[in-house]
Amino acid sequence: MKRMAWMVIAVLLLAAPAWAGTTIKFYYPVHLTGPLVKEVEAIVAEFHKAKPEVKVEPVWGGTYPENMQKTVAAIQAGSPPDVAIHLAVDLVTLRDMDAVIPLDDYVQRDGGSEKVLGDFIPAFVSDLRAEGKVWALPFQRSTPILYINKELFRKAGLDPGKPPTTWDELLATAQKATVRNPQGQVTTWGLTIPDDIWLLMCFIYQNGGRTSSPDFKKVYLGEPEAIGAVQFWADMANKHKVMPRHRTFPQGVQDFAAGNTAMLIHSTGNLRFVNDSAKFEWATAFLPKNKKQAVPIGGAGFYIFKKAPKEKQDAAWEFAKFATSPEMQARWNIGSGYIATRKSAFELPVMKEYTTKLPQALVARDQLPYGLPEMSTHDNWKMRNVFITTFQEILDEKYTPEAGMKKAQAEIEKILAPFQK
Amino acid sequence: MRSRAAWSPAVHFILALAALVMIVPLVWIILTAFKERNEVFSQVPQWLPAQPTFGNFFGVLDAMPFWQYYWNTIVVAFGLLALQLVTVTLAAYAFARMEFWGRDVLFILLLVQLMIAPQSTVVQNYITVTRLGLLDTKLAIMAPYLASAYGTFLLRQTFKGIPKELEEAAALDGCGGIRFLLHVAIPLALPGYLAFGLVSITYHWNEFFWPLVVTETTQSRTLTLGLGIFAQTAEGSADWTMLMAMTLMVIAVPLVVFLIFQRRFINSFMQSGLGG
Repeated sequence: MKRMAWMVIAVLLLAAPAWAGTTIKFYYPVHLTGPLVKEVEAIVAEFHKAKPEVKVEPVWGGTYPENMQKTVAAIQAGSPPDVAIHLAVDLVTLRDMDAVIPLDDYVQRDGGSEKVLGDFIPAFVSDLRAEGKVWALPFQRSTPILYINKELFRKAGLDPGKPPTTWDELLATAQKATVRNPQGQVTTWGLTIPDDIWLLMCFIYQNGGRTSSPDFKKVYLGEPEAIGAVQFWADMANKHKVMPRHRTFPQGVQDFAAGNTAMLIHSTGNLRFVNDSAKFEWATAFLPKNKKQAVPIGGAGFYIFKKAPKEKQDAAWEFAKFATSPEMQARWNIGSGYIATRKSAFELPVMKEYTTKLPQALVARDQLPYGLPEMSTHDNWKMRNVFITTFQEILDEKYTPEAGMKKAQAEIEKILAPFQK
Repeated sequence: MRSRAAWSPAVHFILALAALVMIVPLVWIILTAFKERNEVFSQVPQWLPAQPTFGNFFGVLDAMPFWQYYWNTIVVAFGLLALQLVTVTLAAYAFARMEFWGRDVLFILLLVQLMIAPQSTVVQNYITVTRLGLLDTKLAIMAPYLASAYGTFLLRQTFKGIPKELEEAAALDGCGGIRFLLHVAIPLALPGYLAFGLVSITYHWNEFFWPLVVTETTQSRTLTLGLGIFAQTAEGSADWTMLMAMTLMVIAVPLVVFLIFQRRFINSFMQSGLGG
């Protein structure tokens, strides 16, 4: 009996290392509300089932900027997380801090670029590359799309089956759909666009313009295409008065859900919210084009941190791969409205069922071939701050579009001066 | 007296109006908390929920370890206040009553702390807390606030208001030093303590960013972080019905505390000469 007991103990001791496993710390932001925290935790739970030897500790870090501040503080204190979700545009900052590792070794180890990355929608990987390396696996991705309130279209005598496809049509449609009371005040807006630079990028790209250089060191805001895009936007708000000057992202989508605007340009990430909240028929469409069809992509990816020990990095890679697998991406898309980052996710039965019920979701995916990386530079948050402040001042007619954009260009050049070599 | 009686209805009217302004958001919170999700957005605002539901409250309980967060918040807010009372009392008394070299310079340095925005010290504080091995603990949330410049300042002023003669008389009766502090000064400064306590509790009950940065697990996270799950949305809409249900649950404790001590709070603010 005694020998038996000793043997049992010996076996347990030998087995212990295999069971002990690895624990990794995972910081994630949630840019939309409530249920998404549960969705992320569900992905972690599924991963624990699939790989019991790795334990993931998920830590909600607020919105993207808050989560980034949390990570930056942790990096400076020398205790970064092992894996985290940050924006694609945060790549520059994370690399400037030398905080993350390129994933190419893992990609090679697991069978090469085609096998590991080939199934991802190309636009979503393109903005996670720098200097020929890939730095994150795409997750929580979105693009702007055009939302249409079909009832308001019909009321204005417009065909809800024919959304505007060009800038001219966008303006004409907005003019027809704007409703004013006898005093001349707007009661229903023709169009609403939150005055954010991510959405302004749509118009700059569509106007044939560019925003930032691939080496993150230059911006092109003073160029005629960019100025023209701002001019078109400002005219819709100030000259034609078919859209409000200022709306935040939450206000914009709430106005749409309340039926206060016939059209809305907003993130695909709100599909679920609109679907849950709108009490009218609605549709989605591609953004209208001008010189070309284009849309900036946004969103994030899984970054793995340099300071983590090798076995934690390995575990983090397994987790990132799992969370971006077709099954998990389908689940995430259905739960959140964010676009699944893999092509094959759309072929899964659950996803087919979802897109049959909500065909609006497919528009977001189909628009992706026109996707371009979001504007991004060194010292990204500072740059964005200057850009958005100036843009809002232009809308308030403090500057003309030309003077304002040239001023923003000059100020951002000063911010980027230390990075020029 | 006569003139007072004459304008009293007008005053009452204005006060009633002000009260209405204060009460409407609270009523709106309560009503929204019982609404269905898609009832919130409509062109004509609906006051009453069409079909009152408790679903939001259960939703909140389901979305997070709510009671654990509540407990953590109580520990942080009230525990911190208890610790602050010790540091603040001793510091304020020293600054108000004792003569020592460099006192005024030190006091000014302390006041400078009031001018520094807490956000600007987040990274340094984070590093300190990490080195102390406190990361992801309730103590980490409290640490930067253990010595409160505001509280020290407030109580120093209150202590200064206690007549010198009283201290001398007490000393003659054998009640000097720390005993004077405990038995005479603190009871006399009670309004100041109440004012400080109220400000401290509300501030730390509502604090968001520092706890977000410095905590990671259920064991140390507070209610505001739970609220943030419904409210922190840069890209989409807040989840209003759940948010309001949770807000109602979160403000319950401070609200009840305030209602119980209402008269005292108001008196204490009037005596300490600090409004709002």
